[in-house]
Amino acid sequence: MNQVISTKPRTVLYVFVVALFSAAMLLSSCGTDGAAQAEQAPPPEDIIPDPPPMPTGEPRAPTPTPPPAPSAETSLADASATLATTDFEGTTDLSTWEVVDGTDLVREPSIWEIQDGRLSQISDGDGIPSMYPTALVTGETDWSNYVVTSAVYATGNDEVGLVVRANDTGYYVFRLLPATSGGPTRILSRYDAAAVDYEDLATSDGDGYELERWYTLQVAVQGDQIRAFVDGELVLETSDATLKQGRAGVYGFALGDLQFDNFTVQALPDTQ
Amino acid sequence: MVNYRTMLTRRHRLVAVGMALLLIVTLVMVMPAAVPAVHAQPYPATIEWEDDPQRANNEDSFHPWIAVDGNDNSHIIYVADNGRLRYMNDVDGSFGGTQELARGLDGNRDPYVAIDVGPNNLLHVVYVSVGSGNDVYYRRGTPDGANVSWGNAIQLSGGSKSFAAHVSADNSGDAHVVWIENRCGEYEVFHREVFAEGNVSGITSPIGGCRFHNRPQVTVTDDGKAHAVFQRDREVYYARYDQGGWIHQNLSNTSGRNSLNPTITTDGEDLYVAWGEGIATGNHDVLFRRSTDGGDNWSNTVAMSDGPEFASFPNLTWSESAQRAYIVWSDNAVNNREIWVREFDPSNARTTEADKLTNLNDESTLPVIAAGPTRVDTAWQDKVDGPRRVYRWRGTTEESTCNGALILEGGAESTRNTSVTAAITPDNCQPDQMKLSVDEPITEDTQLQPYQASLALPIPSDDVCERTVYGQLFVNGRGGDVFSDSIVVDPAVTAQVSVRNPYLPGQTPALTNDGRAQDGALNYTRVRQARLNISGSSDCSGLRAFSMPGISTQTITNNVYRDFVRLPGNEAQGEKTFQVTVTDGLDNRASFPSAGTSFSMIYDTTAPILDTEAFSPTVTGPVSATSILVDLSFAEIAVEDNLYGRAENLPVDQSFWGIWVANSRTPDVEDSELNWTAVRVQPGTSFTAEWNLFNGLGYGANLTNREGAYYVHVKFLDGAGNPSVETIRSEVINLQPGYSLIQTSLPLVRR
Repeated sequence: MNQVISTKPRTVLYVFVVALFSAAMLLSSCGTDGAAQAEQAPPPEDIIPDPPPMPTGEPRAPTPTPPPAPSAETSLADASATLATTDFEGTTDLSTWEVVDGTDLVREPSIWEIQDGRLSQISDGDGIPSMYPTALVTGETDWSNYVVTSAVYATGNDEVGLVVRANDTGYYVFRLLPATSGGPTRILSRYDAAAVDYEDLATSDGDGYELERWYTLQVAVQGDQIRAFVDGELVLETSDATLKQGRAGVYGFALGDLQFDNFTVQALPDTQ
Repeated sequence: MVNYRTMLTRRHRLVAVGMALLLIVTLVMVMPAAVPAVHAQPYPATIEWEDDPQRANNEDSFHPWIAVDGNDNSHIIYVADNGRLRYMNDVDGSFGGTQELARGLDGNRDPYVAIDVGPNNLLHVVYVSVGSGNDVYYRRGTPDGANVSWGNAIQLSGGSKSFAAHVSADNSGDAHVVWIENRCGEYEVFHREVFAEGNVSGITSPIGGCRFHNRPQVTVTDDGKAHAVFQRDREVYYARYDQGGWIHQNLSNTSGRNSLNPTITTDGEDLYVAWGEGIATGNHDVLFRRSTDGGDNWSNTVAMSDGPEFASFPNLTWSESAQRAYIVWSDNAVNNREIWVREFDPSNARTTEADKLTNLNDESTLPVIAAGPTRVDTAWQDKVDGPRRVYRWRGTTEESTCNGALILEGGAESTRNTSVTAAITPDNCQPDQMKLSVDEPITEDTQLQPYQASLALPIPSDDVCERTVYGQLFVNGRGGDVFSDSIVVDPAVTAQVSVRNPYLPGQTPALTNDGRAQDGALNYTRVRQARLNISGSSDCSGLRAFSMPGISTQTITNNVYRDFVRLPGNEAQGEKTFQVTVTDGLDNRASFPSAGTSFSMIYDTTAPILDTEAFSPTVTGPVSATSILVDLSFAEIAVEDNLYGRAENLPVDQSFWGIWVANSRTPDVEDSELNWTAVRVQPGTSFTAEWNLFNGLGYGANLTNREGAYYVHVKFLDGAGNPSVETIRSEVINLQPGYSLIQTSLPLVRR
């Protein structure tokens, strides 16, 4: 009777030990270099010692959280129905948005993400900063007359802007350059997707953008007329009949350090 | 009643615990070590950077590329914001005007132009007309001072949309150009040569497969083979044009991560490659490999930048003078994104510490580094003042040198050998020659000799204990730092040893006065003792001990021994010969007075005999003296001694060493009441001596009013200081009032 009673603990112990041993052998077979494990390449004969480690600086101060973005109130009295609007809160879904990079020399589209309730330009598709334009557009390809409004906040980057009438052939873009730029800081351009080229339609030398400050950008397309606003002030106006309709979106360089908020598209009446 | 359950449970617990411990040990042994990697020690850099960087231009500009010519001048191209390809140099000392090489490079700010310097300082430039055809063009520049004549642009690409051109000139002056071109729906890598005479080769593709490629770079080894690296999908590949075709392999091999922006350089034979590696979002490293067999096999991969921050855009160059590969990259490991630099020494595979070169506002990115004969220059784009500008920082390279260390006699502090074993250990380098010098610092005149890791070095004889050997290693005629080691060389005992009559005056310690003369010949003694004097302050290891017959080893303290020693042999009078053996701190031994000679002491206790029977010996002074110094005249002196005089070859009846003299004021005084003084004289039948009448009378300082009668008593001494029994006495000498004194305390001033 006593022997019977003692069998169960012994079995449990043996099972436990065998399981532990199996786990040990399994763990021992796991290296830290997945690639090496995968290819089982012979070890190199030329072994270079590890260089001295990189120095580290003082712990970085956390990136300051931008203040709340201004609301996307349009200054256009004739704006009517809201075609699209988002404050990027409570979601990370960008499935209704599409990246349009201003170069075809990309392996993957540039990276845009929703972070902390704001839309952020992260980098190019390889995760590194690249100096080419990238746009993120949404909406319908048959949108024609509308005003797009968004708050923008840059901690770097080369250009910020808004895109209108984006379709397969290109888009119009209002580009606001840094205040330190040497040339025009406000540019209305037409992007030719086939040529991967930007043609400037109108420029002005007003104030460029300062870092770490919210701006409300606004672009209205109505017939052939294109108007650009900064903080409610009309800064550029031109006309072009190349692109008739298309989606709206945000714009910057694939350099990161750029955020958008309170994105709104409102319909404008037909000018005819 | 036995409780089996309890017994079994305990036993099983013990077994389980034991097995668990065994498993823990097994786990520790087989699990990959979770400890930090042991890194190499910091290694000194060879670049001395100027104090500050230089802003090379004053217009919005991107993507600079730099080359340094054979005169150490920098040549930079860059793309202005208006799409113009600009060229500038610092031949006149600084960057002045620019030349426009092309237009229409706008379209985006990702043009990747490149420049290289070939033989005769010819410049080779490639670029892509981004936005206006996207074709690859090549231009060759012929410098004339700061001015450069540029040849016509030659289109190299095949007509499809192209990007990312790079050029490298080989030793023949041929330019190897690589670029990517979208012919199949994806960008593939292509290569073409522009020969020195101006013709161009056909276009080849290092790798096919219609996959995405980017950022190719090319270099050419001394055997004329082109070696390219490029991004292929998410990996970095290497390709070599060899025996009519391209051979390629995956260098990064990091499936699941992005490997991109590769760079390559060569020292003519070996290849060095670096690239950016995306570890995680915001965390990119710069990785590095080399090949020492022309690209067939590659080293392990090491991280030039391995922090959690963003490191990107590495660029490599090779410095022929410094014999090092230099790498720059952009990194925000500390504060802003700055330019960092390291050096890789292929002779020992060591890497210098990462050096944050810049500390500027905003982002410093896209660095390129190039080396000239004595310069290493880097250029990059920076947003210090807002718009991007081209910056350049100059560095001076130290020539590659080989340092080392010298160890004499395995690190011993001293040696008995007259030649020392010198072990010369290079500091992770491979010297081909060396200089060695003993005691004299190495100069240009010091003779070069083939490098030897170890050799026996003769130490010239000299009165110097500590000998210093200086060494210097050479590689290709370039000398490293001078190093040295010192050692005490003591091949023999250096000592002065003498054996003396123990009764000589002025010696300490002194033997007890036995009533005989306290002077005599050096090598005579009337007791069976001698005074042994050993001194050896110049012995390099110090005197340690001595021994002699009949005396066991005695310690020598502070290199000096002065004391009485018992003479060897028996009690019989006569000559006692012996050697004294001295040892020093290194156990050198020496026999004194020499290995083939001996000390000789004559043991003589017998007094000499003054012949007063056959002769009438006399001592005569002046009857009247006006000075305490008087001349004593001796006559009919005949003295015999049992031992003294034989070795000195004296006549038998002149066997005396000196006289023993005493003064008295009365004629008849017992010998024992006199105060005798030994005086060395030249033996003879007759002789004279000058004598002080006051000597031994105890006048002290009261030397006046001592006129009157004086008598001089004389005995004769042998070499051992034994006085004759016989005494002769002078007649009265009347010292006159007003006598003169002498200015000496010596009893005898002239013999």
